[in-house]
Amino acid sequence: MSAIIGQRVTESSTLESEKLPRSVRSRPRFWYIVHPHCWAFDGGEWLPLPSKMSLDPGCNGVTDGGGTDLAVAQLNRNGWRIVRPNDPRLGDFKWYVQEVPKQGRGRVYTSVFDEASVVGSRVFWDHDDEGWRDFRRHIITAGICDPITRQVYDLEVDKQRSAVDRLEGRAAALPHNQVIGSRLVRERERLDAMTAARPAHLGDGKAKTSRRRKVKAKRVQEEASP
Amino acid sequence: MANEITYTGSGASTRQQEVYGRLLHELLMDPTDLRSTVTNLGDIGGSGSSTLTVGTVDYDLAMGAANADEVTGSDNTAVTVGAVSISIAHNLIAFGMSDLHSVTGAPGMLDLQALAAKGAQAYALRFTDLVMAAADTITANVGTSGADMTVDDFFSATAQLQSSLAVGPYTAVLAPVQVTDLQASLRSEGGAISFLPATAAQLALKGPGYQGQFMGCDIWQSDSCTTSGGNRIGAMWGAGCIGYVEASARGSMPGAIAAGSASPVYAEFVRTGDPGISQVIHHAFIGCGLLETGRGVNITTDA
Repeated sequence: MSAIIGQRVTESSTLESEKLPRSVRSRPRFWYIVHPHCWAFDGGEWLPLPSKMSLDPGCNGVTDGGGTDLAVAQLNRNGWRIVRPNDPRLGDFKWYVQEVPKQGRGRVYTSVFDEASVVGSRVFWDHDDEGWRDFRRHIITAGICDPITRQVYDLEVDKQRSAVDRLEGRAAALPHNQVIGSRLVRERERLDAMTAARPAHLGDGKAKTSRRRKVKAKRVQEEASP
Repeated sequence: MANEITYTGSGASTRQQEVYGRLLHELLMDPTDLRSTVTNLGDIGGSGSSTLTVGTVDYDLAMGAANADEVTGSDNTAVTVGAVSISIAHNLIAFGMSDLHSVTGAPGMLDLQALAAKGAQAYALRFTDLVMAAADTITANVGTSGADMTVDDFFSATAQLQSSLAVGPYTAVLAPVQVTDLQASLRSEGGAISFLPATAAQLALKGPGYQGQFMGCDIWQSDSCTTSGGNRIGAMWGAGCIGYVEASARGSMPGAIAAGSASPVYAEFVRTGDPGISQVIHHAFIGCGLLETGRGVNITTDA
């Protein structure tokens, strides 16, 4: 008598396996991209704010077969730098994209800093804030992203100062409005923290013109006016 | 093949539920269609290429005073010319239905014709995903990572567009949580600030997803807004920020149903005799891209 051999059913091969529900929209594969203008004051420090280059055919020049040459060229022309997941300089952050299994059509790609849990058929996304900040710190120290420039730092601080100015105007017009008052306090604190955390490499805040980057101007001898 | 709609079985089966319930309930979804908010760059069907390159010309060319000596020419002014390329890609969606499911159907039940009518909606959903993915590469950014969206962020976004001379009309596409946070913030505002919610006439004109107007800016809600770093990335843009290209096949494919004039979606019905499956397949060719980053701003706030 020969035995009928069965195959062990693993959780991943059953319908009951944990997957994101159908209602979750598919998200395409992506690469992070960084731009000299995209910085954020996050957790008390200045960190780059990466965007995503969607590797979705038809988006921003990604071709039908998934070719990225055109898309990358356009992004580079606009000042973006690509953070390729296979860049060895990423160290422990190499291969930062993960695929999360999903029911129904499509696939969901997220960063390794996102984690989904399904509680009662509803999806909750947890984000590893500290890991995300570590990643952003790392791409600066690894030389993938240049440090913030003085011009961009000044621009970001100016934006925050404008937000505080607008709130001050509203708080003055509506002194009884406690919500605006508390928001003003919060934004002022944020402005103070932004200036206190001025990156050391930017110096003391006085504008200096380096010889190397100086735009050369031709000396013009002013003519005597008639 | 997989995911066929069958009479028996679980999951995709609808017939048993229909027999008892006599109706279908559509689950919640986001049918936002952003086609009216971005620039149509045309139809490249029959053009010989799957990529459209749009020339960009800088006409910010003010006249200068002529040379005072009256005899020296000024020479030609250089016109800065660049280009943006957008490639189209093939998109499709197919629905299959078993014979048993089809032959037991009655008027009003789910059938292939009902699924065929969903092709246009599937196209709009795909379109919205592409637009928001393209918007993710806008360089200007407002909002605070990890903090709820406020009216201040909205002001900052409009100020950013105005300072970069972006021309209107302005459109804001926000994630659902950003819209609710914005409304919560608005409730604490005083003075003459008011949100104009969408009327029935506006909804009919602009389609689903339109939420209303604030400070002259149309607001749309979409769950296609991308995420990054635990935040949702909404966006606000003026005219000419994002463009799209289509390639209408006009039903020229053998066996396909002729699409309406200039419609990018065409359909075909496929019959597989064994085991008896009928399919309707919708095809569309589309590409979408950022045309000029200065005309837009991203709004990054807590998810």
